[in-house]
Amino acid sequence: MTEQNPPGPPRPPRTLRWALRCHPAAYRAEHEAELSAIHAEATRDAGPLGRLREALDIAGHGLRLRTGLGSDGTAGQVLAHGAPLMVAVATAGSVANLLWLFAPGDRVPSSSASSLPGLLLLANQGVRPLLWVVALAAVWTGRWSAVRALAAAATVLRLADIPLLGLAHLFPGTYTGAALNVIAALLTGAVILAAPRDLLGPCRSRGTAITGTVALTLALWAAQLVSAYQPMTGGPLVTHTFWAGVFAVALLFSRRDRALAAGLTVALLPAAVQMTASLLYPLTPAGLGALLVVLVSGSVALLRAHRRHAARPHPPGAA
Amino acid sequence: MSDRPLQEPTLLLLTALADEPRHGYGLIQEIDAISNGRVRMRTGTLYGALDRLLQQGLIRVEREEVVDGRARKVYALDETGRGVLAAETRRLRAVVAEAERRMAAHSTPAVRPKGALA
Repeated sequence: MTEQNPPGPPRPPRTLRWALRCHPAAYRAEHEAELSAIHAEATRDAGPLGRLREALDIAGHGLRLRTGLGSDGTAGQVLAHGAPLMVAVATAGSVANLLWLFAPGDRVPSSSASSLPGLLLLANQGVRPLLWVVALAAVWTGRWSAVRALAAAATVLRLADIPLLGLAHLFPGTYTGAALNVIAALLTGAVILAAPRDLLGPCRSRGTAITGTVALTLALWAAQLVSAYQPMTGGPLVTHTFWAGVFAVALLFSRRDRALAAGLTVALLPAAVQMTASLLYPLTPAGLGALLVVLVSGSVALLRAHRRHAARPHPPGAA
Repeated sequence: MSDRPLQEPTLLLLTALADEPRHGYGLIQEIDAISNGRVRMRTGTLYGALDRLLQQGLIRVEREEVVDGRARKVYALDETGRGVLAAETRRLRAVVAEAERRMAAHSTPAVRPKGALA
C-alpha cells in the first residue's frame, strides 16, 4: 500500500520561482509560501503581462533586500528622497542638451543629417527630453510605474548615443567622455529604479524643491554647454568649479534631515561627477579645491543633520 | 513621530488595517477599494512596506494561518501605528477644513454696504 502525502501548495509558476530566487535564502525560507500565495491570488485573472509585472515587482523586492536598499533601511530612504530630484536633474540636463544642439551655430555636422545613424542620433536627442518631461509630470502626480518605465527607456536611449556616435563617425576621440556618459546614465537609471516604491508618492508637496532643482540644473548645464563651444574666461574651470559650488550649497542648505541631504547628494552626483571628473583626473589644484569644497560641505551638512537628529525625541517615524 | 506627511502607500496600508487585521492579499484588495481602484499595490511593494512598518513597530503579525494548504500571516495595526494614523488623519482633516473654508469664502458674493462706491 502506498502512503499518500497530503496535497501541498501547487508549484509556483516559473516567473515567480525566478523572482523568488532574487531574495536572500533566509527570507525566502520564511516568506516563500506566503509570497507565492499572494502572487497566486493577485494574478488569478491577470494576463501574461500582468503576471510578469507582478513577478518583476517581487524580484525587485528581493534585490532590494539583498543589496540593503529596502525601505526599512537608510539607503532605501535616501534613494526615495533622491529619485524625484534625480528625474528633475535628468529632465533639465536633456532639455539643456537639446536647446544647445539646436541653438544658432554650426554644432550639428551636415554629415549627421545625411546618414541613418546621424539621423537616429539627432532623433534621440529630441526624444529623450520628451520622455523626461513626461516622467517629471508623472513624478508630480505620483505615477511611479510610469516614471520607472520612462526612466528605463530614456537610459537605454542615452546609452545608445555611444554606438550611434561611432556609426555616424562623430565619436569625439576620447573614451573618458563616453565612459562618463555611460556612468552618469546608469547611475541615473539605477537610482530611479532602485528607490523603494512604497516610499514614493505624489510630490506636489515638494514642488519647490523639484522646480528649483530643474531651474538650477538647466542653468548649470546651459552654462556648461555654452562654454564648450564658446570658451569663457577661465574655460571649463569656471563651470566645473561652479558645479562643485552648487553641489556644496545644495548640501549645506538641505537642513531638514540627513536622508534629504543624502538624497540631494545622490541626485546631483551623476551630473557633478560628469562635470568635475576632468578636474580630478589628473588632479589639478582646482580639482583638489573643488573636491575639498564638496567634502567639507557634505561633512558639515551631515554633522548638522546628525546633531539635530540626536537632539530630537524619536518615537518610531513613518514615511 | 516624523513631522513629514505619510506617503500615500503607507497611509493606505495603515488605513486598511485600521478596522481589522488582514492578510497580504486582503490588504491589496482593501487598498484597491479605499483608493477607488487608483492604487494597485503589487506583492513586492506590499512586502517592502510591511517589512518597514513591522520594523518601525507600527504594525504587528497578529497570527499565522494555513488556508488551502498555503501559509499566510495576518497583520494588525499596533498602538503606535494607530497613533501615527490618527495624527495623519488630524493633519488631513485640518487641510480639508481650511480648503473648504477658503472655497466657501470665494463662492459667497461679497455684500456691499448700501451707498458704497463701485
